Amino acid sequence: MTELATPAHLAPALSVEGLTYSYPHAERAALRDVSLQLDPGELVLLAGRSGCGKSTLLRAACGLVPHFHGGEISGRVEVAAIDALEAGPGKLASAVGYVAQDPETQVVSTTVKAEIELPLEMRGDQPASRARAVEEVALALAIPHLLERTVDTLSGGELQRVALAAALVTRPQLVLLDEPTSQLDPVAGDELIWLLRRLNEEWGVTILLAEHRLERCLAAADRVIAMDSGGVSFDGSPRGFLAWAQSSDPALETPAARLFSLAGIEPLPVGVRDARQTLGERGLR
Amino acid sequence: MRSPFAYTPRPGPLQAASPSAAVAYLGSLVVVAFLYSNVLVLAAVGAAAIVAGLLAGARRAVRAALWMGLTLALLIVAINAVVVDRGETVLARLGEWPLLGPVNVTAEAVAAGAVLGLRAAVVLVVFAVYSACVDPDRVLRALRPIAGRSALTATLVSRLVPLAAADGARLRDAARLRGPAAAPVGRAPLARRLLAGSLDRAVDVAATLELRGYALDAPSAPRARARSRYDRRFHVVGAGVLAAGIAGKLSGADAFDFYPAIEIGYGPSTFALAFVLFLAGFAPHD
Repeated sequence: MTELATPAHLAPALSVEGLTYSYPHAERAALRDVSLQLDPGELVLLAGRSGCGKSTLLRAACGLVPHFHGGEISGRVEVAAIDALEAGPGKLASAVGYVAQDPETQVVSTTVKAEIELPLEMRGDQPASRARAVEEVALALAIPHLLERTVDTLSGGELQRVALAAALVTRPQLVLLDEPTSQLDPVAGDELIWLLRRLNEEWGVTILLAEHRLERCLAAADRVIAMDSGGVSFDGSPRGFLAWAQSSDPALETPAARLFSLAGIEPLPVGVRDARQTLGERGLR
Repeated sequence: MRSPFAYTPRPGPLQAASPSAAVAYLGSLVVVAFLYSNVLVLAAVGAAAIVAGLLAGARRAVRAALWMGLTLALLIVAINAVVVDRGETVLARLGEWPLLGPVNVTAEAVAAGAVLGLRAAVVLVVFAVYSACVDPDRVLRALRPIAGRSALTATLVSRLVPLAAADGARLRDAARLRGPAAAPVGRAPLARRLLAGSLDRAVDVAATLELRGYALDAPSAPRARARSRYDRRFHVVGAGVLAAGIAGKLSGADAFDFYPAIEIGYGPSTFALAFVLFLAGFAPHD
């Protein structure tokens, strides 16, 4: 009896099995036997200290590793039923969107409209459908007023939204974000995270978000994956992550969770609303 | 602040022309600049590039390129004067130098350096006009069917100029913020850091382009603005400049020697060629 292939829309958005990877000339592996799975429609937060392998995992998921960076790799990476290690970033472009931390290096066109339109043009879409898709994604990200501007006149926050629009315009099943708020002010950073949550809910796009400022993202996440020394050290709910971080890796604790644990208040809050509710229940507000 | 060399969309024949027409026109000026050493011809090409830039609205780019070109030219003259020992007319004897030995500055070496410097300045002005007037997005798309890697290089160049300018401003600010007590940061270390940063950024931009599907084999859908009514003009002028350059070369318009003594040819063919080249600068006139 032959095994039926899983339709792409039912397949895991990202499936990684036994992934081990070393950059060229590196002494130690950047990823060690990583296995994880992201279901369609999840918003997953990728946590961990600097150098733990978060960015490398994202690069492997969009095909940049090993196709662009080289190095030695073993294991399996599938994105929406496409073999990422076989396909490479170009063939994955319609299935995966990628947003890096530096907005300035993510634009290759002169105007915002051309930048967002580029992936569709590369795919060979007709002008009418390109225009429609650009308008839709611009409306969703609240940037229609930027479309005719040149990219070098935009602020960091605006540029990051444009990069996100270019990543989303092909309606990929998976969007990978590598510390997208690291160069934004707190307000713009918060706006971007909640924009991601809204897109995740409205468009059903799966999001894997690597971030250092966890207090900003925990409340928006469905699940947290923590990494340490190239491997997965935790995979569970945001609340479970806080409890785990408290005992296993205090550097990953959020300031609010640390304050609550010092005051002996349980459960640890994943966000402001959570904290307010806990304090209210204890008559501390 | 925007880099003066950054492309700015403006109405005008050079901006409206297809990338191939603009490259044919501006490239022909560069080719002639490399073919000739005659000061009059080089000056005519330089004047044509300046006129073309001004007519195309790239005043800031031309001005910045002239400043950079002048600095570069002076540097080349100084180096050539010290390093090259040929020529009959000794202007100064600078004694023994480490590694170089006896250094004599000759008028011929200064003149040869001046021609090299003038050529560098002319090429810089032409590239400034290209950078400010030719839409890099259209270049990217035009090159894709021919060679993906060439287009990648073109895009990197077009993006890296404004990026490097912004990085340079940030690095200078950071150096100033170290306070008066800190050791001053020299231009050379600043330039090294800028170069290293630019290369890192080049890799990031290239990665972004890969992720946008640039390397895909899928044919690009036709663009609305594929051709322009000015294309023929720039192709014809570019071909004319090249033809005039070759004809001038064959008729001895490049008579110019530095060593052992400076001999400058100012025959009718040299003047005629210089005039034709200067006229080519008016091609972007609407």
